[in-house]
Amino acid sequence: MIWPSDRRLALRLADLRATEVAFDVDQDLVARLRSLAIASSADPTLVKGRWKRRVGAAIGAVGVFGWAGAAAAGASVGLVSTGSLPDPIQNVVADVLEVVNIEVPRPVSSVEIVPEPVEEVPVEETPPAEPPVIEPTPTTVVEPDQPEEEPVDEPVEEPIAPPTTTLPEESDEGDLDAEESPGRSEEAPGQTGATPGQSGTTPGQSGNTPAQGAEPPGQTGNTPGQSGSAPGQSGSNGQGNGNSDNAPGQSDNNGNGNSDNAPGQTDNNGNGNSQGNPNPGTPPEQSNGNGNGNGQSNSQSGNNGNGRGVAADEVDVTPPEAAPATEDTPASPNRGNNGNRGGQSGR
Amino acid sequence: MADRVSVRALKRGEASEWSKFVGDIGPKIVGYAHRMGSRDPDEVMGATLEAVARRIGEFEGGAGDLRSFVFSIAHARIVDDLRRNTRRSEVSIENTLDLLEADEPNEETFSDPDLLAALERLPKEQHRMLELRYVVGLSTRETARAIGKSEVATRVALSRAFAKLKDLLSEQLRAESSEAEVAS
Repeated sequence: MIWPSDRRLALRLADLRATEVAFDVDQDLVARLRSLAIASSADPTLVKGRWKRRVGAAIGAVGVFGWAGAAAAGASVGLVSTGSLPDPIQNVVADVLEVVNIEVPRPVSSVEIVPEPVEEVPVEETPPAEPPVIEPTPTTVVEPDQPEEEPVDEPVEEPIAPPTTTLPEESDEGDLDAEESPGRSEEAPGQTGATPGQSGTTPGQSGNTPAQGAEPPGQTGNTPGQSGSAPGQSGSNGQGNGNSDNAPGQSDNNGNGNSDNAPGQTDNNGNGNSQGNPNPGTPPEQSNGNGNGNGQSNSQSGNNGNGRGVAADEVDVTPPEAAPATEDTPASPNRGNNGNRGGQSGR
Repeated sequence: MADRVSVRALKRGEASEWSKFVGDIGPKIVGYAHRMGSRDPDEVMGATLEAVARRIGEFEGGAGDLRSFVFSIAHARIVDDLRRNTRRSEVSIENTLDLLEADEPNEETFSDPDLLAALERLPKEQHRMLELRYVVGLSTRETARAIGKSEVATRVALSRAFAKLKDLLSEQLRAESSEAEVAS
């Protein structure tokens, strides 16, 4: 007995295939199958099952370059919107997008800064008040060793010494003080122009000036400034005074500015006046007298005037001893110190 | 061969492709239906091809997958045909004679009646798998797709069906030999 092997059995099974009867293909059946196949392929319900392929086809249709371009465009838009592009490119893009009313930040450097119009406040010119005439009194004498900080608050009853007299001693001390206060420093040309020697005389006068403080400070300031400079420019006085760096012409402004200031601000005026003096054309005596009198009267009650006089110290006029002799003014050096303070208050 | 059939051409409805496809797969469907006990294999073939044409639009795959697809449909049609025949208790003699006279394959035309008898004794599922795998010529993977099982399960089932068929054939041989000894 022969048992069927696996291979032989497989071949026997395959031989059953030969028993299949071949038949002629019915063309009607083929035509019907064709129409059914076309209708099946065109069935819209099948589209739902192909969304993955369709999405893939859509992504593929864009292409690598298309996606790269889209990514680049998106990145550039982001950079433009944040203003991160280089300035020239950002400018160009901003100009282009501005046409279609799309605002894009422009580079900071290209932004035009339009200065705001400064409203000019008309300066009311007030007629300069005439300082009260106080005769200088030699009674008030301050020791030269006395510190600067001690202001002379005593009522000034002493007559103001004539501005013409200058004392060399006062000028020396005034120089030291001038170094402390920049406004009074020798650097300020206007101050140098002002005759310091005259200020030496004025210290005594400044002590007198407190009485002038009763006057409207603006007016007092104006008077000296006017002498040195154009009154219309005087609006910026307080600052001008403090700035020792100003040119002599600027010192003119100082006096005018003081006139605008409120009474409490009259301190500045006094400083301006002193700078007005520098004008070489003006006689030092007059200039000194004006500046000192005004500023001091308002703020430091007479001390200010002394400072201005110190600026004039640069001019060597007479030895210190001669000062008290010539004028009735008390110790001029002390007054010179006071004058320095006046300059500071002006700042 | 079904391998040479272009699925895209079938979807487009090209007449030549459909003629080739019907000429290649039609006889296999008829023979498969006949061996599986169908009374009207031509009807099974026609119904199967029409079902394939209706669903070709949603079909995805190659020629091998298409064969699995076709025979899975054919099997369903054969089952339907067997159920109809089962309900039909009365069959006219004329119809039976017509079937016997036709060119369609029948048991008499097969050259290996012992094998066919052994296949008939197998369970339907094993018979079907052996038909698709060894007679129709599908691969194990295609057979698995046609019957709706995994490839591993199909491989194991095929092995068991094959062993069972061998046992049946051995029993037949043993029975024949014993009868021969008794007769002698």
